[in-house]
Amino acid sequence: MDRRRVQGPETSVVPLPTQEALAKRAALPAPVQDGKRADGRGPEDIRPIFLRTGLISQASGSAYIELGQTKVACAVYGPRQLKKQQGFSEQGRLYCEFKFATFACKKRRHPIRDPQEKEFSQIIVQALAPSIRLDRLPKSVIDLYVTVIENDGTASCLAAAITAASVALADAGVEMLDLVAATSLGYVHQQLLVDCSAAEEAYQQHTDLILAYMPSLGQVTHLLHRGPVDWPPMAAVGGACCVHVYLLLMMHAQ
Amino acid sequence: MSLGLISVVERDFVERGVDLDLRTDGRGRNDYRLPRMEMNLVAQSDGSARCQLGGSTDVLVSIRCELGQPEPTTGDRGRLAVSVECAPSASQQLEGRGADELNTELAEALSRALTGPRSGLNLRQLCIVENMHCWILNIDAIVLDLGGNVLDALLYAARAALADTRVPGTQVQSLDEGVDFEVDDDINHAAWLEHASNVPLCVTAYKIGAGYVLDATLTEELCSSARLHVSVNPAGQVCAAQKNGYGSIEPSLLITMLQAAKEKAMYLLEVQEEQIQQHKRTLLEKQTRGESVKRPSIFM
Repeated sequence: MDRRRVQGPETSVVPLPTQEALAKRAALPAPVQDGKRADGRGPEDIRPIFLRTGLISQASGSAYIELGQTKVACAVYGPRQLKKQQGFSEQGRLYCEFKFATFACKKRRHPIRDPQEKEFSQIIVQALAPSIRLDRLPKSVIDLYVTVIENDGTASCLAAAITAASVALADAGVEMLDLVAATSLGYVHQQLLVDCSAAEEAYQQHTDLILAYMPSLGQVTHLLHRGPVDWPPMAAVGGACCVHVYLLLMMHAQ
Repeated sequence: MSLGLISVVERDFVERGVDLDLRTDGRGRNDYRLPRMEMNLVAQSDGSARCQLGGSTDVLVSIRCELGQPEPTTGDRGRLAVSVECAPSASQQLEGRGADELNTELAEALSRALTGPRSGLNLRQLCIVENMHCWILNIDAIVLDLGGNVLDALLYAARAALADTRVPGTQVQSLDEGVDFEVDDDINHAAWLEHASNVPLCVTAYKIGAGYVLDATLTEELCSSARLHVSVNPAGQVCAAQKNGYGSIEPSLLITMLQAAKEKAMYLLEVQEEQIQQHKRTLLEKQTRGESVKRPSIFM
């Protein structure tokens, strides 16, 4: 054998799922059978939440949240003075960096943030800005770093990130109007499912909704939705779930 | 995104106007600037359209078909690749990296409306050889002037550009070692995109003070605390919705905004359908006269 050359075929093709795998995917079982989902939940149940604050010692405030296998860590640094090159701002600024760990998803993520992660960062800022008294923090900035350690449903990652970031801000002692609770909903095969896992997101024709809500003030701080859907029931269920998450947060705070 | 500053007094003036259902340019809160549209402008692309709102917002969308490989999980379908670029000439703030954030925001929102579940397009039409070759539709948008309500204009132009796009014909031959295909350079063999008329349009409702307006101008955009982008298809279904901006919205106002945007979108869909039919009629007349027949962009 010639050891000086790389032994391998001259051409390559995309690794393709085998015909059996494709057939299996086509014949996915219904998402809800006998009123139960694959993991034993009812259609409108969220997964059990694990939440801890203050896990990151160097940060001003931090929170870690688990929603089933979805694991998100969030750290808050600041408020601190704006750097000279960032200019002057009458209101405080909120800056967020959302990142999936390279190993968080089925497909490897690149260490550099991609457009989806940049967009999620903007969404988190938009969802949290209404809850913070930014008018009390002129010339300063609050930095928010969110890392997804494991992704079990992309929509649930974003919802968990918003909730965790809000708790982390409270942990940092930032002056706030209310906590923001967020949930994700999916609409699969004419069935409304709350807090979809990655397996449930894999169904084709998937519709999703992410709702961020401040229950005490009765204000929607963010809404992201795609796919045609019946609006009123989805919004009502979303609101109820946000309240449920909010109550859990309040219990945690005590 | 904040493009420019606004004084407290002017903000108050605009907010009070919205309360009285009278805006600075004389419109009511549900009135929309009639979009002016031109199609088939860019010679090097397979489909293009330009949309202007009230003579200030100005966007151009070009679509080019490119050969590529399908995603491993959806081997029987083609792909869409969406990009948006805000030209620095549109605003000084967009110079250098200043436009990055706005570009990503617009591109993701546009791609959510076009590639989301049941966006309408038949992506199977773009497949050439299953799991091997497909067409990639590069949807490239450029924002030439900012006059408020850019996303609506972008989707308006993108929808028209899709209706104007023709995918070159291909002939697949099986050889001893697999399959090969040839691309036809005759535009008459190129197929229109299937179901392009199912693609949604977007209408944005801007929350100003305690009320809302549709189709805000740049000044009104600066006054608005939050906005809601709503994409609606001709069947009247809401295909995508997204809140944007740093404010919050009460649930009751949210539903009102959604409803108003939906009704306006249905009206705009009718207006645009008429514009597209008009364009296709002139194109057909040109062709029968034997004038300038375009070639698919891949042969340029």
